[in-house]
Amino acid sequence: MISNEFLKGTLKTIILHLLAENKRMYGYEITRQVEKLSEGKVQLTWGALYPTLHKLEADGYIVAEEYNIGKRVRKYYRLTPEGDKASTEKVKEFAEFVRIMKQILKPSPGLNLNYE
Amino acid sequence: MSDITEQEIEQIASDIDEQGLTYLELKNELLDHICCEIEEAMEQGMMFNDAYKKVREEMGKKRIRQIQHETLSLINKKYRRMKRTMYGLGIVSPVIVVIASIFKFMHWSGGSLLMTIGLFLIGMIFLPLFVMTRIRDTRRLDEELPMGLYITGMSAGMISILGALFKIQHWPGANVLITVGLVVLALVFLPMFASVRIKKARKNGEPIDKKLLISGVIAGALLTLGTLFKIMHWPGAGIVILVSWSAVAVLFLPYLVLGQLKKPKDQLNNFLAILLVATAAAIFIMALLRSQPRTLISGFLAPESNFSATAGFYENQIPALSNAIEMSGNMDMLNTAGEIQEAADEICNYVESVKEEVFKHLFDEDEEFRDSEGNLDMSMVKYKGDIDKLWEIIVERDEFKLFSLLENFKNITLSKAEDPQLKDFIQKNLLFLPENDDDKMTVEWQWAVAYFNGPFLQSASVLSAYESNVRLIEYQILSELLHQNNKEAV
Repeated sequence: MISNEFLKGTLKTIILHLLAENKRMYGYEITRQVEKLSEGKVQLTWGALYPTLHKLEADGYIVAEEYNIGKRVRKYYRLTPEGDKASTEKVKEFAEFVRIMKQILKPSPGLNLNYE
Repeated sequence: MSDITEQEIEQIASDIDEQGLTYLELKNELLDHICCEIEEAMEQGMMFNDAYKKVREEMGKKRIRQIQHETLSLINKKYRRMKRTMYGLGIVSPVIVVIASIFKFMHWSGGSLLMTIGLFLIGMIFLPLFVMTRIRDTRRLDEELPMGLYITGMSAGMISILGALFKIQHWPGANVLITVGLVVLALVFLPMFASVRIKKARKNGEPIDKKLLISGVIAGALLTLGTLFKIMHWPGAGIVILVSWSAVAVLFLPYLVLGQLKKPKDQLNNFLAILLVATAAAIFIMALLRSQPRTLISGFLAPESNFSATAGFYENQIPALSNAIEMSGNMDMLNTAGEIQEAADEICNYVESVKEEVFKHLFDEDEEFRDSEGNLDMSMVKYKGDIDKLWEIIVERDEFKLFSLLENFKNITLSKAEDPQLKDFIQKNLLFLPENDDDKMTVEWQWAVAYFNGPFLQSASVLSAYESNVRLIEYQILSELLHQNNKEAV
């Protein structure tokens, strides 16, 4: 399991990226998709998911459409053009972050304890 | 598709409600999410009850409230700032209006500017912000939105205050704006407010004090109309105001105090009510300060027209005298007469120009203030009780020019007059200085405070009295000179 501490800063990136790939998704679908893609290692709590979704909506990155399913209402989210741009940027930014983190955390040559 | 029955969905929904979730959009979403999780568990063979129990355990008890709180606080930064600004303005702007009234009353400079700022803040910023935040609050709480009520209230308030601003600036159309604004406020907004409140209470099954609400609305409407009548000088203002204030004092206030003591709950509405009452009271007091009761007016008008008539009488006699003086060919006499006439004319011209300036200030651009002969019509000033403008001109702008002109005239005429009775008159009556009872104030200040610190109508008779005195003295001295000359010639 990946700890929540790491997830906090990347949740927006994950949501924006998933929506870019899948056109439209609802909340439960997003948690399932993340679970599937991470092979069960990342489990989004809805306590983190929904506030972030609403914040993205308020900021104009995503829009919601509601559909009635029997007695229930399902809310699908979709990227706005602005959100599309933000998605690309965020993913790029995160890739850069990962590269730098690798660089920082790379064991120094002198201390190479021979991982392989 | 769904294995969950409608009944079960309703049960989940009411469970969510019970946990205090009020933000509708989030509620629907969480309901769907819970149903999805239950469905998944049921696909793996669990029964609804077990599946729901499992999901609930995973969810934890306090989570729902917390999610709502986090969601709202994330999307609400702008809204919160707006609300803080609104509350701040709600306190600050009425204070500015009250301070501005004090400034105006005390003749301190900046009063009009402050009043404009205060009214602008209330009407153009506070009111729209208040309505906007109310609309958001209502929507968030998933209540029915009385949009018509909000829009009517906001427009009525904004139009009335715009009218007040126009009035201060003497722009045309002020009266129309004020009339429309206040009439809509009294006859549309207030009844609408009562009916929306009653309907809402009935729908939610809440108890509501109909008597309080209706007596409040009637008193409020009467107060507003009374203020309108008073501002517009329509007949019957006194009665409407008397009846409405009595209604407030005897019916509404006791009800209000009793009702609020019973349940100190709805703080926002209390805030609004207090604000409205305070503003109405301020407008009312201002209206009283700025206009005089009718009975006083004729008391001011009569002496003014008398002095004007006297001044006019002498003014018509003087050309004959000055002609005679010119004909005599006596250069000394001609010079003396010229000096006196010049000083007298200067005073009278100055006084007339000041009067005209005040008239222009008192009347809106589209109002007529001259009689058929083109003279300033004092009786048109009836209800215009401005007390600032004359002081502003005489004291602040022209720095007692009138006083110096009169002093100068007094000195010249005293040196030329022969008749002891005339000399005595000039000495005592020309300036009619108030008795010196304050050593700290200069003579000019005492003079200004005594004669130009009141309503314009009162000061106008003082101005006309100066004109009449000046012309009388001019006439007397000219005839004295002529008399002297004739005697010498004989």
